[in-house]
Amino acid sequence: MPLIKIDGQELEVEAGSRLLDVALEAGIEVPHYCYHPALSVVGSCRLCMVEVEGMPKLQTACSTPIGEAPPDRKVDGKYDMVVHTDTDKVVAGQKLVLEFLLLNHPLDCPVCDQAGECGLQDYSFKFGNAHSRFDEDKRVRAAEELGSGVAINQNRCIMCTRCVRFTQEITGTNELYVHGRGYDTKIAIFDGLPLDNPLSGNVADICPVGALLLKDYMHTTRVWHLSHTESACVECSSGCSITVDATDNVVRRIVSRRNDQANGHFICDFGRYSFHKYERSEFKEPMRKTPGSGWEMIPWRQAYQLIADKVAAGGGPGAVKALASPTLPNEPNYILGQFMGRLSDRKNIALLPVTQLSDMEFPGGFRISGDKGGNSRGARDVIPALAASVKALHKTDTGVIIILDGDGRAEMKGDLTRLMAAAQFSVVVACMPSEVTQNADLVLPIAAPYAREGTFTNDQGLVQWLQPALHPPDDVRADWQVVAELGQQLTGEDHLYSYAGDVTWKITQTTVGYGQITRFRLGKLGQFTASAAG
Amino acid sequence: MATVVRTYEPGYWDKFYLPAIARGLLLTLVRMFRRKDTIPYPDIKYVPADGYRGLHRLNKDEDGRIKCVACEMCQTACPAHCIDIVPEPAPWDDGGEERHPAKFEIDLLKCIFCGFCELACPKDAIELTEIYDYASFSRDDLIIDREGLLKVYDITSMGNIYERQNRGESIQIDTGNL
Repeated sequence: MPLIKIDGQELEVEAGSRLLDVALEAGIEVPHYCYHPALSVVGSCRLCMVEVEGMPKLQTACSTPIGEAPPDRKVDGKYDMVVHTDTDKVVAGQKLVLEFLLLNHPLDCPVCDQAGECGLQDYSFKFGNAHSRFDEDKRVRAAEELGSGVAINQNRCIMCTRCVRFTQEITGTNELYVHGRGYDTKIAIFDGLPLDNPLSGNVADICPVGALLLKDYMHTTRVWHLSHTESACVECSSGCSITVDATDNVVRRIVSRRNDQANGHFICDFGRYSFHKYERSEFKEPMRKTPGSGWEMIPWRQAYQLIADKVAAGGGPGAVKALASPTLPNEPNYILGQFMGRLSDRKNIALLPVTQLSDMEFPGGFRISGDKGGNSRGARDVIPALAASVKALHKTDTGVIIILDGDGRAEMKGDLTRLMAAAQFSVVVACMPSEVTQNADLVLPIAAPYAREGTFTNDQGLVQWLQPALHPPDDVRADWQVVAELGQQLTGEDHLYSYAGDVTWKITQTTVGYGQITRFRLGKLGQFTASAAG
Repeated sequence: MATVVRTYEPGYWDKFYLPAIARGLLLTLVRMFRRKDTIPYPDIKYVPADGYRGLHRLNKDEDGRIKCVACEMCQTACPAHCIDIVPEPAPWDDGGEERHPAKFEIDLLKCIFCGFCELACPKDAIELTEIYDYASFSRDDLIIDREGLLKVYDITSMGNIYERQNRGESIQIDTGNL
């Protein structure tokens, strides 16, 4: 293994590793634009230049591999490479490169949405000049639309080509290319082929400057006002790590968060824009369907009493059926499974059917799961006595049916329609209106996805913690709490949980494969269940 | 450090109080023939010095459009958190700025008139004017919105409003409508 020295720090690294990777990992800041760990190296921005002893010119750290030197050529008799990132030569080089990159940059930070998280701002401040010697007129170009979700401001672009490499290597769709030469170079799309692939939003994330912008987020808030919540996406079973950015209790945007166990660096556009679905008409209070198709708001206590009455009238606790939700965290599903098991010896609980498509795979390795449940695997893991399908519940008469609808992603068809029709009274636990809630007799409101807390298990067995980014409305309760209170009403046993983590702890105590999992170990990147890890 | 405490010990003549009265009357007599320091407000308005930090205004550019681009620098700089801005894409596409405020409210009751907003503004859009007499009977009147701030620009852009009022121009500062 080559032994190298960077700024006096001795490091033993593997032969062939990139100098930039090694320096960044060692905590040495080397500015860079075109280099992105998920993409190939082009070395076009020329900013990551470092001085390597024995080499006459500055070297770009991103394209310099580390190798073993022959014994007689080792520096000081032992180092294979000695690197400096802060010499006068390097500092002068960085200043010159930044001055060049800013030649045609409009410096319109006040109207630019990237301001606050902009590579040009940060590096100009740290490594650049306070002034430019460029006296000519700046090149001015019109903004263009690249696709339905992304716009480009050509003036701000520094031609790092991260976006072009993204469409070549990660999505394999090749929509973007570098048009023209020299002064006329620009990022462009081919006529009639807009940037509309399901990962297109990522180009705005990886753009180090304000050139590529999400139209959805354009001119909404300034980034320094956002609160960043590190959570996981619940839209499909891939379970990508995300950062939910919110202000004033409203989600403003969702950006990807690197998690090599789940999604790598990127997220898909379904997940990125999913928060808009939950902005409209959340439930605020329990609602009962009244004769004449209207809905009546009732207090929680009255809602639970109503359920108790209906259970007594509809064949007792033994005739209660339940559908667990693949769109809700493990915690409510676990509690539901526990108390339903106590109500009857028969299998009285099944998984709510949600949309199943085929997986979408991209050349770069990114996968969008076709299972739109999100937590299907988790629900199967934490409910031991799950019936094979909704159809299996038809074997006996149904009194009251409890449906955890979660985000309203269930499809109202086939067995589910028949089961709801056969039931005397249907209780739906959901956060927003859906086909299922329309056919319900009683709706119990729960918090919307970004106000939810709990664990999610993706289809690979990775358990991640959902961190709430929003506060739910006053009279809306947490999903696990509603289910626990339902269980208390039906079994007469006190529920013993005071917060979501309590339930998680209980799950880890009793569920096969979850024994090693704790809230602390889950951290921000999650942890595999024992069966998935083994 | 020692502190020197001066005490007043009245002398023989001081105990008559007459010299003190005479000195006071002399001062009054001298002042009667000097220029008066008081002004008959509100018939004549006090004109603050240049750089006085009074009511805010939002400037307009040569085309009459709002200069503000809703960058929220003033809101960020404001120590009293009295500015509330909601940006939106600008309705014009003829080369003006691509962003402008949909909502720009200043709570004048919270404002401490430090002028940080003016210093932070990269577009010279927000400025503090010389206006000081905008009291009102309602709190709502003292939350000034975008249109109100532009109206302040209209009445203050032709020169110091109090100098003009003293010259006899009739300029109304209608707080309820700001």
